[in-house]
Amino acid sequence: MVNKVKVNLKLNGERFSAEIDPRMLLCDFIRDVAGLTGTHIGCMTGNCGACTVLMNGRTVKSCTILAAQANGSDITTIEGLSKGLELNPIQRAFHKRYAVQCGYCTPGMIITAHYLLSLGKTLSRQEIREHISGNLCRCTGYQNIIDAIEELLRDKGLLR
Amino acid sequence: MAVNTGGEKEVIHQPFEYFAPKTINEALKLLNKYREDAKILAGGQSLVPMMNLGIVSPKYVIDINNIGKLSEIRENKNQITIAPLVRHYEIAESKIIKRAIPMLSEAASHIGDMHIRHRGTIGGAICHADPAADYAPVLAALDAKLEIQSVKRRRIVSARNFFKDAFTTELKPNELLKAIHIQKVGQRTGTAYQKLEFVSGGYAVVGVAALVALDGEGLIEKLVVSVGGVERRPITIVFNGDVLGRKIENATIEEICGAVKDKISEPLSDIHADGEYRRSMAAVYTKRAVLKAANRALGGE
Amino acid sequence: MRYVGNRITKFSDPPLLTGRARYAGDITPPGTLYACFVRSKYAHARIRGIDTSRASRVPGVRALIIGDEFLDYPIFQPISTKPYKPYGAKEATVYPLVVGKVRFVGEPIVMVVAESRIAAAEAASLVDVDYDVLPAVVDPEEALKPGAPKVYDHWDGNLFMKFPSEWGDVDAAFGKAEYTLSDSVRIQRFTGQALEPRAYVADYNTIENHLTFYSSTQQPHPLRTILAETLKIPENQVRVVQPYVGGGFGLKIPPFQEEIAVAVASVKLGRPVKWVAERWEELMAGGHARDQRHYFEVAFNSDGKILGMKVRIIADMGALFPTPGWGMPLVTTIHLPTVYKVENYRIELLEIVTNKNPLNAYRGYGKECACFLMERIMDMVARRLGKDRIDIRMKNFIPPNDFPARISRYTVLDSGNYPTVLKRAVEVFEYEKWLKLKEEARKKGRYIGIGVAYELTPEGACIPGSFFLQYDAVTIKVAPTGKVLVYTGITSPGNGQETAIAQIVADNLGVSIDDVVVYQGDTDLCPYGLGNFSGRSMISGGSAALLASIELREKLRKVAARILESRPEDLEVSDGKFYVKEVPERQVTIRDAAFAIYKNPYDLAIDVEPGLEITKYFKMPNALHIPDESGYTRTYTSFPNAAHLCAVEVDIETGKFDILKYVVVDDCGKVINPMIVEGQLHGGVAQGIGGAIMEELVYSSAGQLLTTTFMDYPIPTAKEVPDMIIEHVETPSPYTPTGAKGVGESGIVGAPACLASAVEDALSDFGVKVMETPLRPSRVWRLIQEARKK
Repeated sequence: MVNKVKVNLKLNGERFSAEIDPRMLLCDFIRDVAGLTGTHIGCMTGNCGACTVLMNGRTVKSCTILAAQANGSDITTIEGLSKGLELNPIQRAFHKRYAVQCGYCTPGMIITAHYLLSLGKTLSRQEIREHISGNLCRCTGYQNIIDAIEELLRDKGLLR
Repeated sequence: MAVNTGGEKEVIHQPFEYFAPKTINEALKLLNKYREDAKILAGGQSLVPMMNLGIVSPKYVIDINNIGKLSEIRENKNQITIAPLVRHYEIAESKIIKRAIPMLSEAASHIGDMHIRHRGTIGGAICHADPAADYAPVLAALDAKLEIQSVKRRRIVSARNFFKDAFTTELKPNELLKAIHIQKVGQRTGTAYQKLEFVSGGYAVVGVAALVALDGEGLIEKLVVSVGGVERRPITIVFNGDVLGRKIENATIEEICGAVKDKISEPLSDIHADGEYRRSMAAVYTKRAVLKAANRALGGE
Repeated sequence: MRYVGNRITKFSDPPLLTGRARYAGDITPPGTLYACFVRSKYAHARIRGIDTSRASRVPGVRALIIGDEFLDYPIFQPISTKPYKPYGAKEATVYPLVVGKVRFVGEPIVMVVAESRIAAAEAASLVDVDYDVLPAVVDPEEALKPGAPKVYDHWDGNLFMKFPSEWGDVDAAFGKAEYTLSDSVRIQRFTGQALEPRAYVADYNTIENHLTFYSSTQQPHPLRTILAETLKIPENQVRVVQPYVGGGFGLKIPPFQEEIAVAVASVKLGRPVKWVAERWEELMAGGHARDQRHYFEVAFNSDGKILGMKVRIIADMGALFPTPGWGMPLVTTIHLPTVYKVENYRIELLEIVTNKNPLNAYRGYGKECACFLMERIMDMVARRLGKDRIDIRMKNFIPPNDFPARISRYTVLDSGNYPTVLKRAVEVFEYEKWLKLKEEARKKGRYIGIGVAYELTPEGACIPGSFFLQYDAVTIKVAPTGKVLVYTGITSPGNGQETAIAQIVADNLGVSIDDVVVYQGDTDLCPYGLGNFSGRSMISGGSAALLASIELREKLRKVAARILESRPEDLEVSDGKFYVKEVPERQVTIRDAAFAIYKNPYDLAIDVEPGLEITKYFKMPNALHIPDESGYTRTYTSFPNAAHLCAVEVDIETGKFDILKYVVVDDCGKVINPMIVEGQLHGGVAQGIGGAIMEELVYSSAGQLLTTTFMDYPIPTAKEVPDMIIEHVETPSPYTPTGAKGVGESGIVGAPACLASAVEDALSDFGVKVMETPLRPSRVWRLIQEARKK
């Protein structure tokens, strides 16, 4: 029989620990063990970005990381970015511009936008495209998403 | 690369034992014990998806991410040493690397996407040895020295000899890549990495690394070209007499590109790009990389 | 009108934005078991035996089900092939798991049910299937040859049906034409790949013989009927719930084999069973699309007028499924020659089965093939005659005063103003400027090209004897407090129809949109409707919402008149109030009128029926299923259309190209919510670009699918999709009360044709012809090399 692995981590600011099968991926841990289903699974090959979360402050694709590897780390998921259904400024910008259609890519996209804004770096529209190119969206054609991020950067004086 | 999963599962279904050693010695001992049954887990950006698809099913997974010593970039007068756990984004952003070996940063910045660069490591990428990956031609062009360690032995292998075949390297089952040593490039020397990808974040259809040193009159003093993505391992050409001493001009470039094309005998072919296309693109991207490197050698961008 | 026509933000956003929305895959009732399918490794093979002994030893495995155990469950077919019998249409029974022989790689053979996903997957990997491998037939034209392996043993060959569409006197037209040209165009096999993989959760209650089924479906009610009929559970004991759906694009139209298998397993095991598809399963067995070859001849005169066409369409269906994929090439056929007045043509469609994954509907549904063919013809004719490509189209358009315009035995176009739309697109694009830019660039060795395409997007499909029809229902309930509950039979796989419905209801009932809540996708709550496909949400659902709102409003008006001691016809309604036209200060709120209906049935509301609830069905009036005296019918009911113009620059060394500008001027009739309409076009064009430049499902000659991940089957990222400029021209539908024509499939139809046109134009110096997609760099490069050799 397989050994179990103990995982202790910080999840959306709170301590969380569990004993798991080492085969478990971080995305499944977040969804099935912690019950946070806002992190989505779209491909399991690290291509689509629906499972993007923050790990120690940087965006990662949680389907490419074993849950065991997240031991000792600080994980933020979409649920950690706002209280209940209250929208934060990024979410409001997406809402205002119809940057959400089916919503399946949206949590990963918002996490990515949150990370980009947290960098405090000046970005151009083309650079926004490059930075979100790891998050696939099949509905919006990206235009409204890019408009929303552009507007958020402009408000912070960070749009090139 | 096209991989037919042939009906496997996207959940890791083969049981394995997981280890998270804290020191290199501990990792080496585990590796020595389990050998072919073990896999080193670094960034996991290729390994974990391959496990998800059931293409790779190790019995033992040795996660080296907790070995602090493996995450440094060090610089001395002539050389830069990169530890294997240094992540792609760190290489892309490192001031030291950008200044001394711009094409290495350039290659790193073209890998996958931002999230993958946050997690993927140089050591993992090199040891995975995907023929379409970006570092291999760059390190081969630079003649980087790879420091390899087993429980009993330490040895150095040139990047030009490290890649044996697609997904196959010089590493023995009990060996770990411990460091990558790269000579800084000299004065009037430029490097460039140029990549053709069909879709953003995709693997290179062709990736060409060029290193060009020019003398005071702008004549070629040294020229190395290494091409990735076209054959099962990078093709590296260290140019000699014929090209050295000549000016960077159309005739010279044509000769360089011709030499690259001639060296390609068994180009890879897949549904996206056939062998003839890859071979032709190797020439096109050689031209682009050499011109850019030469321009950098002259102080341009 | 306060809401219709305005940019109202989407109701469903907050849960989606905050990660609180529940998709089918997020639902796990207590005691849930997990399913995993063992799928065929071969394209064509007889199953000799299945050994599950190793698999059954994996801890946690609860069931290993093979096809023979599902023999009692042939899948109910929501769209029958019977009406197409005169054209030779054949039938095939499909079971939830393979019975006898497999017909494509990835077809489910064994279903494993276990306590965890990992255990199910581990056990699935330990099932041993003994195959008797048969030669596979992969190419449709090879499949027609004598001696080709037969996909269905009981058929006389692999031809599923041969369907004609003929008009005018094509031989006479060719006889008198000054010019003829012939060639072929080919659209590859590709597919939608919604980001959310399919997910099903069946929760069967043994004691009550009641099944609750959560599905990422586009058609909850038809799925309920399919489940009831297939499982033989009374339909009033089945509840289908469609939670949030992560994109559909036609590919979540039921029924899939797994959908039925999951339900049956829950019934057999008496526990909830859940299955979520993996990406490779979606690519291998989640429904494919397109895969059509068109061999054509065209006859025309020196003035550019097209006199006649002959077209032979070869459509590769893969295996046959209960899903409506086999209708896709029919849609191409019956809508040729799209927006152009070509009075003589002969079209023959051959639908052929092969050992590939069956087709399902995918956004565009054959319309993009018709568009691609016609637009390539327009460009060819223009080039042959040395004429401008815009002028050629203007010359051949069906003129605005010709509507309604019958274009085939099966199709009458409702309305349209094609010259105005194209003219506007030419202005917005700055066509003249780009012609100059192109010339200047060419002098500098840069290859810029301009693409032109005009798409016809037939919507409101209305297929006799199927669940693909143009009626739908809305129930509205106004509570005593004036709050409004709306229940629709249409569903939203993510695009925001609930919001558009609320806009229509708020305007026509006269209430604030904040007082409207819309429920969808639950068969226990909503009136029987046909869900989401063919741009029908506004065509049928929006119309029903309008009719229901008006009826309730009139009832409220009567009561309001009594309260105000006025005549109903003297009242106006807006902002949640009725007021007397002449004396606006005399007013009563809808809330008070509603309260009166509930509380004062014997005085203020004495002359109205109690209650404020209504269900209204709307049926598109212009479908025709009983043939008229000429034997003609009408199948599609609404005809949005759009002009696409783009500019690209090709790197002739690599064949890679960048899109420099992209303009769409769209006419989807009355726009209910411009933000949603633009968003649909953005997404449609993006998918069209994916199909035009990179997406292709590739089978080996042995029938192995080589594109099973997003690495091999890339879809466009933010770097591949350009910014688009979208404008509207509104030619209202004469048949919907809102004037809306539907926009769900617009954009994807014209994009491949527009990009092909642009690449060909950029490479006109070389004489390159672009007759095939996807235009991946290696293909464009090859076209240049071949043209240079000539």
